[in-house]
Amino acid sequence: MGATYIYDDSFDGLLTALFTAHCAAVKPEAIAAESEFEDGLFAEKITVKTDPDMAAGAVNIISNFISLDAMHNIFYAFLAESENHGGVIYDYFSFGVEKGRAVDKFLHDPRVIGVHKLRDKLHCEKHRLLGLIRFKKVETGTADSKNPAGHLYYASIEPDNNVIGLVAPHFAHRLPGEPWMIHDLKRGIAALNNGQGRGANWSIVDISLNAAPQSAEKEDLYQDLWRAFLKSLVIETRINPKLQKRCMPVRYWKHLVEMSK
Amino acid sequence: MDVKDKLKILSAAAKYDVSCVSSGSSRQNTAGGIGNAAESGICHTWGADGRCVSLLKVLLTNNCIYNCAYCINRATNEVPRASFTVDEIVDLTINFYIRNYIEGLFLSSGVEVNANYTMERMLLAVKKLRLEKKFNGYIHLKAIPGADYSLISEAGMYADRMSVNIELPSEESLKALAPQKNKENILLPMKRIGAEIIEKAEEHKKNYKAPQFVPAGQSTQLIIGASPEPDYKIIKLSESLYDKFNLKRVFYSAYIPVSDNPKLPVISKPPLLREHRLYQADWLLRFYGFLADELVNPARPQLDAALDPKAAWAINNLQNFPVEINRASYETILRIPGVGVRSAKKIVTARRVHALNFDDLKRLGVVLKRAKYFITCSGKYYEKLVFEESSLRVKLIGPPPALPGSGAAGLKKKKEDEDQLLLFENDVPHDVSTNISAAVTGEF
Ligand code: SF4
Repeated sequence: MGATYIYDDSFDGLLTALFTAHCAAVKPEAIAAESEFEDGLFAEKITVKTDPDMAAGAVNIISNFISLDAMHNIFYAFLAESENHGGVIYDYFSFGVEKGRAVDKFLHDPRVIGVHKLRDKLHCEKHRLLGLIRFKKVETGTADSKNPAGHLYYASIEPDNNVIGLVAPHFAHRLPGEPWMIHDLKRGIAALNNGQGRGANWSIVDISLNAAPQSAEKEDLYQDLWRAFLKSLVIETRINPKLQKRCMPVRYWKHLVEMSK
Repeated sequence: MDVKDKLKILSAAAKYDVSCVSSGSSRQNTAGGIGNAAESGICHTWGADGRCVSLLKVLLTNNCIYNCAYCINRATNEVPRASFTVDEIVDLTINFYIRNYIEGLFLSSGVEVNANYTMERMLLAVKKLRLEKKFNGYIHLKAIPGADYSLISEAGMYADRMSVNIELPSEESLKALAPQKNKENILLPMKRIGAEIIEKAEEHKKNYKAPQFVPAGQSTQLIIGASPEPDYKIIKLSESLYDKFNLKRVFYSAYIPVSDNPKLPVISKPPLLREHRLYQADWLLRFYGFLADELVNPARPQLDAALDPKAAWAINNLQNFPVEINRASYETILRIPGVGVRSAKKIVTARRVHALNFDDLKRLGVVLKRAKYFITCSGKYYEKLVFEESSLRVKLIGPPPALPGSGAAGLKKKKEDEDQLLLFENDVPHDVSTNISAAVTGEF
């Protein structure tokens, strides 16, 4: 039985492992992230040290010898929550090296399906959240040079996958002039926009809040109006909670103004 | 009256307009402005009726001087009345938008004072949003039938989408049920908006700085079941609206009883299944290359209630089947019951590198539930079957119900049939039911 390469959970780590595997004379059996690897009796494990140059080497192989689409697929599959990223991505990568540009045409092949499924999962949640994110206007204390507005539009989410980096650009284009924050409570990270106008003015930061932020003036009013609006929009003869739940899974409700009390 | 009360009245008054689509426009954010439009459209929430909510859909006023029989806002109906001020609309739109509740505004209105007065006030609201507040989110604006075209045309410079609702699918029904409206009042603005969309789009192509006019196109709505037109007439009308007026969408709204006017049918619940079938047929016209006459014709004027229109077409045209998955053209594959655009694309991609069998199709995510009766993979059938209409029909929907008897037994039978329909509706296979919401939200 071949060895398993272990990487440090980072994307660069994964790429380093792919590159190492690519260059190795004896191919590894699998690739796994440290956090998802379970020690087996017979598994031999080799820890791969993350190396930016080797990671760049993998990017080069993927984008030039497979395709840019493949690069996109691998990155999205990496961000998707799954038990076995490393394995799924490694299989796809090896198959891609063999087939080149055509790899994404093998839509019936499990090695391709695995990565595509993860990618689609991420796409789907990203698109869903573009609609389901709810900003609340909160106080941020007296306005000063660091905090020119004195308020912030704050949204909390607990997505299945690590998507804030993918949804942030959408809001950066849409609300460039407002300070806002999208806080992923599950992962303790947030996308933060400084509200200084157009351009890339957002970044991802580590964050933990001790208390729920204080609502700004009129925030409750607009929440109330929104609920009232949705209530009177419903057509009673068409009530269909099953359809509602299928379109908008209950696990997202906690952070929706209209569904939580 | 405070804003909340007005909002309650004026959103309830707007809810029968089913269009809530926010797609088709890619309006950009402007310097110092707020918002943009997402080309593919975004649903923000789903109501308890399962309908996608994407826009702040309200009437400017429900204080209507007209008396259309099918409408809850008709002048003689006793309902609470309200009118928004322009500032109230603007404030709600901006504050809902910034909190990401909505993609934008859908502003419609009853006719207050007269058509021009109403259109002018709607125009004021969108101008204030676009020019003063620099709002670049999505705006869908109703054109008021009978208003001067100059007002409608000016509004088109600010709106992403405009619509004039036809509501009743024939001139006779309009005359009977909406006596103050007439065909010309409705069709003429549609025609002119359609022409101006094409003209301005040409200019915009040559010079990207030229102003855009209704970039997300024009739509309309037809009420289903308030008047006697058969599906044949409705689908033919939609087809010609798409072809001749260049419409982006036709929406169908199952008639919901709102009046005991003797000219209106007495029904206990809206004909939702019929509405659903019409959406499916509409989809076949727009994305699957079907002609209206292939789906319905004077001899068979109604869509099959028990079968989706593609499957119904297929069993009536068995000479076109089975389709060989590994050789048929993309267009032919699109016509296989149960195979959608996504699946068809996957099939033609994957078969270039590999001859597909039934297991491969499953792995591709193709739903075989209905498709399996109509295809071969490298010459092989899925199972042994008798290739004729009646037996396929049984395979697709189960054995036909016994003929209803007479008297009490007959009545009971009828009740059961109704329940079956209901059951069928709640029980539609997954791909079809996603299409229900897709049809209503506008996207697959
Ligand atoms: S014009 Fe007719 S359809 Fe429109 S609001 Fe007035 S009564 Fe209703």
